[in-house]
Amino acid sequence: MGRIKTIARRSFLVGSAAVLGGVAFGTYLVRKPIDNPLLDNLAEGDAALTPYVLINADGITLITPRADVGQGSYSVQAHLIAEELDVDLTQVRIEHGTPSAAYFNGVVAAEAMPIAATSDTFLAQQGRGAAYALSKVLGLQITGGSSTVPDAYEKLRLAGAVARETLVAAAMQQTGLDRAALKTEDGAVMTPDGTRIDYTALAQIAATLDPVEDVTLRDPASWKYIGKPQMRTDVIAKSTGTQTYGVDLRFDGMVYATTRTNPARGGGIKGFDGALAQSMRGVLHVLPITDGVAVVADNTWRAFQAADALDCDWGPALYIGDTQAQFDAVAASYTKDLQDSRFRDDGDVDEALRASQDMTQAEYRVPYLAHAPLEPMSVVVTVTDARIDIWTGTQIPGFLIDNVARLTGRDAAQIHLHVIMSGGSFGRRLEDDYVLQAVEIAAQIPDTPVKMIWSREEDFSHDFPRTLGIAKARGSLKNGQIESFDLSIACPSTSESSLVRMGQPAIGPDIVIVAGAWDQPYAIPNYRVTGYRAPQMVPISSWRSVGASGNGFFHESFLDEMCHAAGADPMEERLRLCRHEPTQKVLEAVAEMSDWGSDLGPGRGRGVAMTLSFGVPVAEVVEVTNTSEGIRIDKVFVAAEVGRIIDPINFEAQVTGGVIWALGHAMNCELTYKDGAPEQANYHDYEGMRLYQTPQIMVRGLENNKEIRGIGEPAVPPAAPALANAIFAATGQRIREMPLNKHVRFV
Amino acid sequence: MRALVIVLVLAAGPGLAQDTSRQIGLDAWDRIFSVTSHPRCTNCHVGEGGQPMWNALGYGENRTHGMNVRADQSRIGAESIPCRTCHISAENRNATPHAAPQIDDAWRLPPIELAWLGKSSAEVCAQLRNPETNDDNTIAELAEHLRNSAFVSWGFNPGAGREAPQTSLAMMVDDVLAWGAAGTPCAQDQ
Repeated sequence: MGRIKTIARRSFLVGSAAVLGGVAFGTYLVRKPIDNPLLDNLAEGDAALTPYVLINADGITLITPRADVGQGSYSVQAHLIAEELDVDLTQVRIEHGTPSAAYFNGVVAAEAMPIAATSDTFLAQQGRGAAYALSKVLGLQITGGSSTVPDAYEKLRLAGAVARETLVAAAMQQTGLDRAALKTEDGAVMTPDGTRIDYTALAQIAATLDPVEDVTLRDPASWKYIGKPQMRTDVIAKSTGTQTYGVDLRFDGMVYATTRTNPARGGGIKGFDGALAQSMRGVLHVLPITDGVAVVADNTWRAFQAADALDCDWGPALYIGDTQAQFDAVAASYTKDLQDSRFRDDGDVDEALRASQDMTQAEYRVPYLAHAPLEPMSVVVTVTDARIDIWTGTQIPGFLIDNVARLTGRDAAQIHLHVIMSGGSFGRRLEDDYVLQAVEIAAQIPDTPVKMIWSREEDFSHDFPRTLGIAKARGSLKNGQIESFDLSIACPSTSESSLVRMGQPAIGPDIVIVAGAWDQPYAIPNYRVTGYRAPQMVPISSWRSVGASGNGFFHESFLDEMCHAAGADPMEERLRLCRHEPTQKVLEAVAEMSDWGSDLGPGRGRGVAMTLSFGVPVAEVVEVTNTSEGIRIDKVFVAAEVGRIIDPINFEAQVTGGVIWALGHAMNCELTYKDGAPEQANYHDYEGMRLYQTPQIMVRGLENNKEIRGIGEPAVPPAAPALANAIFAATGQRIREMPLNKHVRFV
Repeated sequence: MRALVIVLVLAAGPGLAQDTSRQIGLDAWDRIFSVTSHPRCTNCHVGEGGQPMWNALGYGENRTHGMNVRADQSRIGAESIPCRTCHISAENRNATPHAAPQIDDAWRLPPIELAWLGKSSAEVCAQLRNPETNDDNTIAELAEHLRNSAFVSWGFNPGAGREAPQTSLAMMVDDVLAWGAAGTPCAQDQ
């Protein structure tokens, strides 16, 4: 009976023919984490069985269920498992897990709830627990929201520990020795006489045992990997150009496709002339797809050339399609009817403003922004009678399969998704539109692997950008201190736009509209943040740090203006107002790092900003020089609080990358629209920060919080306001819209 | 045709010819200067600064070349980023508007003394007729350079979406010859 049960559970755990002959270990979390009250109430059988370790005679494979879009996610996940499993990562294989509800992300959904990260009340805990349970029930396998590390931190170490102890149990059975006599070391169980029994040699016995679930996680003092600088598992492949991305995949008999669809999304196609394209060298097919045309050729270049020769008659945009009119629509959204949220309303803002003699007012704007990952959208699809195979980098494997099933009418079980590494994403691969196009193409030429790649121009013209937005801010002083702070943010709802494409309902207020603004830990006596939901226009999506990316600029720019109005030092005033100890510590750290208060000399300025997003307070100080040729960014100091740093090198890389990403966009980037289509097409008119413009970036990670948090996004929001505040300090010029190069030149 | 006109004018008589010729030369110079002061030329004729410009590219505002190229004494950027990093020396239709242009010559900046960026008509005029500041050329050699240089040729036909001087290379050559035949007059001459 026990044996049958075991085998049945194993087959569920493994869940794939590819791992037959191996053994998978998972974690059984029914009684495990006491931090999460919901888990205490789980019924027997209502458990999270999460397979992460596969061992067979061929070796050890660690399954990492979160996408790697360049942020080092595979490496960090593998190190968490390896720490407890006791394996050297140079000896193992790492594979992205197949899409499965077992790989649900228990953390990301909580970000969508109006629970301040600084709140530790019973209600807040209940709310996070509810989000966790919902994620589990939905099988929400998603990579985003800087949630990989917080979600995986305990889960993956438990998975490693369960696997290790089961292997030790197998060794006990083989040797007849007691548990106390056995140790593990670098992929093997060691006996007292020094005999080394490789894990791979124990796999067969382990496969017959129930997983040992009563495990104790190692004391951090004995950690070999976590908290220490590690070599990323992909560093050699990436340094030698051998990393395989979607654009690199090759299969026998493969054909190469690209598409042209209406740049005004959803506007449709009235007709097209594909005769010239069809006549060009190497062109195999010119095929209609939804809202556009696909060209299939014998290589990608020829497909691109032929796509340029298509003559398409597009339908008109179905939304407000011109930048000025789009901003006008947002500006018109400050109405009672369109009020979406007011999660922060301390004191009596209206009364404080009424009583004030000198109210400060300002309006800020942020534009649409493209994801523009270095690897444009790419995917390989093969459609046969029996199955559909898809190879691509994606952050939403489950939703992608559901969408393909809806599109094709096939059963989800027939759809096999092979997740590979992405050459960047910044949120772009939370969408699967390009995959659906490729499936449409492949369905028309069955039994043929179709590699579809977008040109950079197609990628720009079909992005789901970061939303544009406007903030109106008012504030007043009393006795030289900030007495009231009233921030009203209007923009379209990112959640409403993107959840529809995932087949999910978008219910209630959208926290994205006010994220990174409503939950800042300042004790301003009269403090209000209101969100207004502007009409949906261009379809939008999550972009690195999502709502906080623009809201950090709004909040921290106006806080700087208020400090200036009060005649207060922006750092000291933030510290005075801050009521969250970990945030105070990041402000103190960044003040110390930057020698805040020291004289920089003429023409130079320092700006500070702090944004608490994804539970991570990040404070940044930017130093600039006002040269005769323009603003030069000299130095950036960053302090961030994540609870625990898994890998200091990767931590610094994520922070540094986030700062460069944010500053480059703050300086140069906007996506403007004309007739529903973006006017920017490539990096020449959507410029990143260049190497010679890149400042020195000094990073300090703090570990005071008890909660562990991710660092992929939180360094982004404070960078732009810190830069704008530094420009104000250096020049006296207050810039209230991005990109900042509308008002100053950068050198 | 223009050369023939000059011959006829010269034959008309010394006094008249001199005045008329000077005027023809000055008119020719004005047309030459409209070319030498065009961003397609001044983007590279930047002189000592050694930083090529990105003016009038059809997108963004005028500014220095985005790759922080500092051509320095070598004029090819050997000290920092060589021009050839992006500007391949091979003939190309240059059909992509924002891509690095390619021609059948080694990309480099002109000699330092041939700085035209920000200079007045009088300054450039004086520069171009002086072998010390025109790369040691006679006027005939200058015309020859115009005819044969892949750079100059590309400047008049830079490819898709790029601004070019509102004249042709042939007319520019004629103007230089006419200016030379008229004794390379400059407006500031007494």
